[in-house]
Amino acid sequence: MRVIMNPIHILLAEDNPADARLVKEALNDNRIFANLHHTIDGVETMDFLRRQGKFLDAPRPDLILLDLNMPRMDGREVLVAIKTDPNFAAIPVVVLTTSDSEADVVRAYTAHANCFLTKPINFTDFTDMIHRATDFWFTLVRLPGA
Amino acid sequence: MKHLPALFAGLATFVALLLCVFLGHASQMSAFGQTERSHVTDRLAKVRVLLESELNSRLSLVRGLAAYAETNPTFSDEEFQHFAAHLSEDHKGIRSLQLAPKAVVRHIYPLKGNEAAMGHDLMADPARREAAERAIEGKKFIVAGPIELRQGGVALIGRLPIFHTPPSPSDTPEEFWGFSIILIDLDPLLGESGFFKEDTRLHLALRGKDGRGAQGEVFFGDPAIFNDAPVTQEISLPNGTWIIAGTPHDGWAKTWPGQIWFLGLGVGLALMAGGLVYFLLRRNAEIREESIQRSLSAELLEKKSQDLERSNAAFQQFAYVASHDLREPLRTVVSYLQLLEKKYRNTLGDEAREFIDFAVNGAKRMDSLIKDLLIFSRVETSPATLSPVDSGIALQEALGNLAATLEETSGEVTLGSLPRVQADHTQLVQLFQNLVGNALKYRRAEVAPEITISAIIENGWATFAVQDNGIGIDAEHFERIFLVFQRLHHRDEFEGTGIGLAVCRKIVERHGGQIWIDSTPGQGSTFFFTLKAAA
Repeated sequence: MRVIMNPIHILLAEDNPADARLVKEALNDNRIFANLHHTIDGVETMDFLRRQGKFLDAPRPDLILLDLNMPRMDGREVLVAIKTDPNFAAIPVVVLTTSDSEADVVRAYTAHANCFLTKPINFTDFTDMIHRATDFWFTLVRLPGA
Repeated sequence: MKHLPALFAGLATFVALLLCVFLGHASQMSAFGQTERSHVTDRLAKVRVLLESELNSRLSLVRGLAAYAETNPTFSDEEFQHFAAHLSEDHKGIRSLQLAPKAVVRHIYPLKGNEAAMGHDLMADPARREAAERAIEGKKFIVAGPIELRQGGVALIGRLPIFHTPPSPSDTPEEFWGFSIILIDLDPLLGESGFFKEDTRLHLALRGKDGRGAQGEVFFGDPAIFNDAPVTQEISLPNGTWIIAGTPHDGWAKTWPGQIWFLGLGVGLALMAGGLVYFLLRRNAEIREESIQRSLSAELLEKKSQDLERSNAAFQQFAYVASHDLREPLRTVVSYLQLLEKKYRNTLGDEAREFIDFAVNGAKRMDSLIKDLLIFSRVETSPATLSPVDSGIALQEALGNLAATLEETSGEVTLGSLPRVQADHTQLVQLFQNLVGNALKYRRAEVAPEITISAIIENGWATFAVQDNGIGIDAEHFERIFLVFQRLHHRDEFEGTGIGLAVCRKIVERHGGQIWIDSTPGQGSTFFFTLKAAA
């Protein structure tokens, strides 16, 4: 197994604190050490990426876990903003949502989402999914700048 | 009546044309009447001229006789007879020539037949006296009559007073000598004038007895002629006028030549034109109405399609709420109950874990219900776009989706040859999947499921049969199983929300087909459904 030298930064854009907490629980279970940052809507997410407002010292995330349905600016808009901005387009975006709507899936991939995950109802399934996704992105996949 | 305007227009056209026809007829009639009248006038003028000439030539005899009496004051009766005979020999209808010295008739030619007049003293006869006196006083030639003669017959009497002019001195008054008299038989006079000839083609009448013109009595012909708008002309007499009146011998024309044709064709044309206008306008109105109807129904269709779009959009919204917003809190409930159980496994008692299980199962079941309801609603609201579909391929796809269950239950599926049908592919897959899925689910314990799927085509419809060897169903439940959320079994026997067959029925019905079941409890069930076969 590769030894991860640099700390990994994951940005979780999620308006539901319960789901955010679940992600955190799931990541804590994992052997991958990652810094989890949490923004609660699209506007905060873009501020985080651009290091604006209260995120002046924010790190550049290695992976973004993006919920679709959020207030103010939703995940679909965030996805388009990221993927059309040359500064951020290279950051992998994992759409993580309750939705299993085909329309959402198609729309996400069309906007260049890197993968689409539907949150399962069981907690164990959920943690399992988070583990496999993070394993995939941080141990299997080669990411830019790694 | 909705064609009233057309009917009115048709009638108006008919009446207007009819009016034109009658105006035309009236004008033709009047023109023809004028022509006829001018013909009558011409013919009447001929008769009149002839009559005047015949009359005058006879009356002139009186002047000749007067001149004779004047120049031969001492003539004998024999000389008179001779002269009168000579005078009248060229004329027909001279009843008599007479000389009446001192107004007493003394000389009569011919005497025979006129004897009664001899010695007739005009001044002593009350019937003659006045006229005689007028003649003498005015020195006028008086034509009287026609009158009935004493000696019989009808005649005109012309009386010319004769005066002797003394040689000198000139201031002595003229001396009345007597009358020169002529009796002219009326009939021969009129006969000579052509009154009785057929070729005048006129009805003739004469009035103005004693020269009194229009005021005088009618003395020849039917007096009614004067009331039948006759052509009239004056005939001059020495002392007045007669009026001759003529009408066509067969009466004034009531019709003009070609009138029947003109009126017949005119009325016919008016009828046809009126009818044509009526039918054209009516057809026009009908076309307009149809087009209004069409545009109305097009509008309605447009509105319906907009409504459908709106309701589809509303459904999409609902579907999203159901699939996402409604399930998210459920997921939170389940996840956190499970997290609770996991983190506090050691502190929680068995009972607490059991309660958590109930709560988790309840939430999961609700999640399934939401998902199934969504599928059911989607079938109902999504338009079934029918196209030729290979039902075999749809079935293979359904079996692929059921692969895990088939393996788990060691299920065997036997396929007949399956036809192409008019269907929505996705819904057909769903239909097969639900039916085969049910056959696998409701299997008998310890008996591996055997499923046979076949189809026959009849009258353009394909009847599919999905036969299993499962637990079967009592006939009393045949209807109920197709209702939404209706279940025959407890949750611990068979899982499910009771929506599968309701979805099947919805799909089949939206394709215009029917679905039903035949089953023997303990042996198996066969589900049948029909779909329109594809050409």
